[in-house]
Amino acid sequence: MQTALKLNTTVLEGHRIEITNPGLPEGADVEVVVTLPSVLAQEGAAQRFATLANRWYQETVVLSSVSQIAMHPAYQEIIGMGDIAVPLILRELQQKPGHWFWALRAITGADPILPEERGKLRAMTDTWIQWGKEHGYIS
Amino acid sequence: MNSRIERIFPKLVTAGYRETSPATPEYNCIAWAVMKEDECWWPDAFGDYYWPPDVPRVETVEAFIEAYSLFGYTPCETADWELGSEKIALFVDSQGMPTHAARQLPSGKWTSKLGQLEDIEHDTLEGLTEGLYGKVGPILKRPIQEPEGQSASEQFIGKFHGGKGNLSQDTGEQFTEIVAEKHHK
Repeated sequence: MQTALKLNTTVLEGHRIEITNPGLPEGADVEVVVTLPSVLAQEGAAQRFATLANRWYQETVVLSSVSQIAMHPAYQEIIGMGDIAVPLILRELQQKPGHWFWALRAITGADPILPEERGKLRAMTDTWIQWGKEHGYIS
Repeated sequence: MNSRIERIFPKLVTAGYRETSPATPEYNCIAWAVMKEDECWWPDAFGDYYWPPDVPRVETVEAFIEAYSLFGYTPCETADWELGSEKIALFVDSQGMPTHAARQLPSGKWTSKLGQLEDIEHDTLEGLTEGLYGKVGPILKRPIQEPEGQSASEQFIGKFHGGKGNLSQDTGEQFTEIVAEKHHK
């Protein structure tokens, strides 16, 4: 016997939630889960990012030209996602070093890399991850 | 053999190649051409990647030649192996912009770092053409730099006389190893 009724919905501005089912027995526990649009957007962004990032990696993995790497359409689309892509990129960097610095700089406008770190991917990665933690993008 | 590399550079299959390192993004072909294994070189506009100070940070063949000139390389006519010289080949795209660099080994073969993938030793430059790297562009060379007091050939002869005692088919490889060891020091 089902002991809980779970309702998934999105609350839009101006809407309200009513429970009108007269079949619910008196005293039944009802759980209403409200999913905020921002959470839905993040989930969608994560999926979109994963698809784009995989395509970008596969199609640029043998390139050394940073311009070619960064001008790839999938990479540009990730930059176009804006701030919502920053934690996704930083989590990707936590998994493995990669050429995400152009995107991070383009989206955030930040430049935390020290001159002596330029070109050293592991040091650059560590610096951006630290920056992401300090700015609340990742924990 | 590496199916991913062969899919991207099908001409390598007939040209001949072998992997010589694990895949890593931590250095690229431009740095590998001057034996740097801990950084990526590129004159990117943001300045995120290493580029020699005082060399214009622009993606032109001239800027790359200037960067390699800091290591003693000057333009030359041919990619053919020459005794006493080591060479770098620049690859360029259809707009003439640099895409890749390969370094000639003492054996006459070439070594390339393929982006974030492996280093390979390839028999010819042509094996990497007509794909993402475009075509072979300028060739640069410099004299092989010897340690003081003894040339690579002298060291080879000394090793030979103190070693196996007779010439064999692998003498060329021995010579290659000696020179390679010297370069890594």
